[in-house]
Amino acid sequence: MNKYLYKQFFQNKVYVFSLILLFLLGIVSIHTGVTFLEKNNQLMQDATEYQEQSIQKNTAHETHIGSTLYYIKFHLFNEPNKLTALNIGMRDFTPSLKGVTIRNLEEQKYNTDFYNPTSALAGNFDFSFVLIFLFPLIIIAINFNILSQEKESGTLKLLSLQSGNIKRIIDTKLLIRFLAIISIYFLLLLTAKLWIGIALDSTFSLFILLGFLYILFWFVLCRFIIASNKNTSYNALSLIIIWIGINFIVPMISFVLIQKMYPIEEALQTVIEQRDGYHNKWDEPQKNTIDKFHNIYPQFKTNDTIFNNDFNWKWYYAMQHLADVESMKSSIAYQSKIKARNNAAKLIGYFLPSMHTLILSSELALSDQNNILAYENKLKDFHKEKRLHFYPLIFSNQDSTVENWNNHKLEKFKAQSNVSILELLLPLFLIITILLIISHKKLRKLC
Amino acid sequence: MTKLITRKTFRDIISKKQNLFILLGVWLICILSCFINYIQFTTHAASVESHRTEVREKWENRPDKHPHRMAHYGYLVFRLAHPMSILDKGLDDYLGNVIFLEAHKQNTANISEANSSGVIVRFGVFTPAFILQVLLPLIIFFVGFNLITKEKENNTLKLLSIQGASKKAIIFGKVKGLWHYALLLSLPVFPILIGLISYSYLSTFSDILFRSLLILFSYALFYFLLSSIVVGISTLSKNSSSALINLITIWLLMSIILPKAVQYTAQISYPIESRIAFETKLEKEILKVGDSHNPNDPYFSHIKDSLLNHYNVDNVNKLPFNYGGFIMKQGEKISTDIYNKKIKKLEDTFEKQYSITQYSGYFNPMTAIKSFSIMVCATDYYSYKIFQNQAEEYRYKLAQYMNDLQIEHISNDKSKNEIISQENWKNLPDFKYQYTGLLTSLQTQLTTCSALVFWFAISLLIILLSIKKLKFN
Repeated sequence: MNKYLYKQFFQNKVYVFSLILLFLLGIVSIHTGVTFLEKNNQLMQDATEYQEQSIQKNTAHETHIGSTLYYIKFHLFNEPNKLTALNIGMRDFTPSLKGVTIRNLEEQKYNTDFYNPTSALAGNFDFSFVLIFLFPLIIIAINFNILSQEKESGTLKLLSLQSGNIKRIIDTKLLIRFLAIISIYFLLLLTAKLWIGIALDSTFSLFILLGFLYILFWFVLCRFIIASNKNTSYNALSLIIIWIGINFIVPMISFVLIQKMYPIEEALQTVIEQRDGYHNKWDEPQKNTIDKFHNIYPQFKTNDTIFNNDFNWKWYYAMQHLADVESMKSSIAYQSKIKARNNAAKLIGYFLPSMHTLILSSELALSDQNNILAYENKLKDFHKEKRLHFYPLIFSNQDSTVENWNNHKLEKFKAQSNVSILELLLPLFLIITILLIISHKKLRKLC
Repeated sequence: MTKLITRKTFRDIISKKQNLFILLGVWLICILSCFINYIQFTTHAASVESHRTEVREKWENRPDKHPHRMAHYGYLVFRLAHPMSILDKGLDDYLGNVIFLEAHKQNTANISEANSSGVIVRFGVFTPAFILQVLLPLIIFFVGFNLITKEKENNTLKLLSIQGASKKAIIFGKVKGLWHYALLLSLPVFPILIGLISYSYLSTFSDILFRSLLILFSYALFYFLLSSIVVGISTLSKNSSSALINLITIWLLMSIILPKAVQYTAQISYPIESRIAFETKLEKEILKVGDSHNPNDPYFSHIKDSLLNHYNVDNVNKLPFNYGGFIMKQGEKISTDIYNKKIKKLEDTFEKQYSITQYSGYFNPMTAIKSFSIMVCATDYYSYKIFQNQAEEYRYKLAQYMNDLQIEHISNDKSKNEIISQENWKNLPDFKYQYTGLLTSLQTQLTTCSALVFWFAISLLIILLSIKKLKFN
C-alpha cells in the first residue's frame, strides 16, 4: 500500500520536476550568498590596504598631529558570519564598513556605502527567500490535491477499501512528500555547508531548526486545508490566498502600521543638531567650549593654556566632541525608535511564521536591525577609544611622528547573535500544534 | 455578437456573489491604502518643509564670519518625494533623505526609511501600486480561468455556435467581458487618487492629471493583456483545474521568480565598486592633477608663478585679491570635475543593472508595467539621480560663491582674522528641488514605454492564436 503511494508520487513528472526546480533555485540562492561573502571579503581587504595607504600618505609630512588626524579615517568592519550568505537581510543596503576620523561621530555614522536602490527594492535571491517564499509554493503544489484528486478521479474508494482508513492514507501521502521536501532542504544545507564552509555550531543548528519548523508548518497547514475535504480548485485557491496573505499582505500591512506607530523624526533632527552644535562654537569664546569639554574630561585639564581667538587644535577637537554631546539626546531617541520598530515586528512575527522565520534567521545571520545597532554602538566605543588615545598627544601639541601608526590597522567587530531557543521554537511550535489538533479532528470526521 | 458575449460574460462574472465580494474587497483595500499612503506622504512633506525652513533660517542667521567657515558649515538638503508616490512608492523607502553639502567633499544621501525599518522591509510596502500590479492580476486569473473550459466542460460551446457566434466573437467577447470586470476593479481608485494627490498642492494639477491618465491608460492596457492571457490559457487547457494551475504558475513567474532572477543576473553582470575604493581612487586622481595643500605642487606653483608675473609682484600676499580663495576655487573646480566623471561611471553601472530589468520587461509584462509605473510616478532611479545631481550642482555653487566672497573681501594677511557680513549669506538662494519633467522621463526611458506597446501586440497575437485553437466540439 505505502509502496503504491510512494510510486504514485515519484512517477508523477510534475512533482519530480518541481523538486528538481526547487533544488536548482536553492543552488542559485547559495551562489548569491557565496558572491556576497566574496564581495565582503574583498571589501575587508581593500579597507585594510586603503587605510594603510591613507595613513602613510598623511603621515609623510611632519605636522601637528591634530592636523594629521583631521584626515585619517579609522575603519571598523562589521564582520558577517558564514550564515550571512544564507540570509543577506539588510546587509546589502546598509554598510558593513564604516570609517571615522576622530572628529564628531554623528556626522559620519550615517554615511552609507554605494548600493543600487533598484536592486535593493527587488531584494536578494538568497536562501532565506527560497525557504520563505518558494518552499511553501512547492509544498502547496504537491499537496493541494492529494485527497480531492483521488476523490474526483474516483480512486479514493478503491484506496480506502484496501487500507480502510482515509486518514492514514492522507498522512502517509503527506509523510512521503514531507520526506521528499525535507531531503531537498537538507541537501541544500549540506551543499551550503560544504561550499561556504559553515561550521556546525549552535547558531547553524538553530538556523536549520527554524527552517525545518517553517517547512513543517506549511505541511501541517496543507493537512488542515485538505482535511476540509473540498474540491481541487477550492484547495488551490485557499492555499494560494493563505500564501499571499502570510508572505505578502499581512507583513506589508504590518510594515506600514509599524512605520505609522513609530514615526522617526529624530534622524533628521540629529543631523541638524550635530551640525549646529559644532559650528556654533566658532562664534563663542573659546573658553566656554574648553570649560564644557573639561567638565566631561577633567583629566585633560591644564592650567597654563591661555585661549585667545587663535586657532588651536585642543579647542578644535573640543568643539567636535561637543557636537556629539549636544545631539546625543536625539541620537539615542532615534536608536530607541528603531529598536521599538524591530520589537514590534518581532511581536507580530510570533503569530506569523513567515515574519518570524525571516526576522530570526537574519538575527542568526547577523544581518538584522539588532546587528546594525550593535555595530553602531561598537563604532561609538571604537571612536571613543581612538579619541582618548589621541587627545593627550593633540593637547600636548605633538607632531605626527610620535605615534606608532602601525598600531592602527583595520579593526573587526564580530557580533554575537543571542537568539534564545525558546523564542525561536515556541511560536512555531504552538501554531503547528494547534493546526495539527484541528486537522486531526476534521480528519476523524471524514472516516 | 461580440458585444452580446462581452455583456453576458461581464454579467455572469458580476452576478457571482464571490466576485462581487472580491470587487468590494479590492475597492476597500485600495481606498484604505490610498489614505494610508496619503497620510504618510503629507507627514513626510510637512517634515521636509519644516526641516528645510529650519535649515534656511539657521543659514541666514549665521553671524558675520569668514566665508570659508560658511563653506564648511554647508547646507542640508532634504529629498522631497513626488506626490505621485502616494500611488507608487517605487524606490522611495530605499533612498537617502538628507545630503550634507559642504566644500571640497561630496557626501552621500543618508538615512533612508529602510535603514530604520528592520528586516521586514524585505516583504515590501503595501501601496495602491502593489494591489494594482500584483494582486489584481491574480484576481483576474482566478475570476477568469474557466471562461472557456467551463463552456467546454458543459458542452455549451456548440450551443453558442449554433446561435451564430463565431470563434472570433466568442474569444473577443470573453476577453472584453473579463477586461471590463478588471477595469471596474481598478477604475474607482483613480478619481480618489487624483483628488488626494492634487490636494497635496506639491505639483501642478495638469502635471498630476497627465501622469495619472498615463498610468490609467497603461494599467488598462496591462489588464487587457492579462485578460487575453486568461482566455488564451483557458482555451488551450484541457480542463478548468489545469487552466487554473497554469495561470497561477504564470503569475508566480511574473511576480516573484523572474524579477528575482533578473536581479541576480544584473548584480552578477555589473558589480559595483565599494565606496572606500571609489574614494581612495578619487583622491589619487585629484592628487595627480594637483595637490592644493602641497606648497611645492607643480600644478599650483605654475598657477602661482603666472599670477605673480601677471600682476608683477614678488609675493602672493601682495596680490590684489585673496590668493587662498583663488587656489581653493581652482581646487574645487578640478576635484568636482573629476568627481563628476567618476560618479557618472558609477551611475552608468547602476543604469546598466537597471537596463537588464527594463529589457526583462519584454519577457515579463509585470516588470514592464512596474517600470513604467515608477517612471511616471517619478519614484524611479532616474528621478533620484536628478535629485542628487541638483544637490551636487547646488553644493558646487555654494562652495564657489564662498570662494568668490573670499577672493573679493578677504585680504591676504592671515593674522587679521577678517570676517564678512552675514548679509552675504542671504544672497545665496535656497535649494529648490525641481521634480523631473514627465516628458524628460519618457524620453530617457523609451525601452520601458515601447515594452507596453510590445505587450499590446502580444495580447492581440494571443487572441488570434486562441481563435485558431478554439474547437467547438
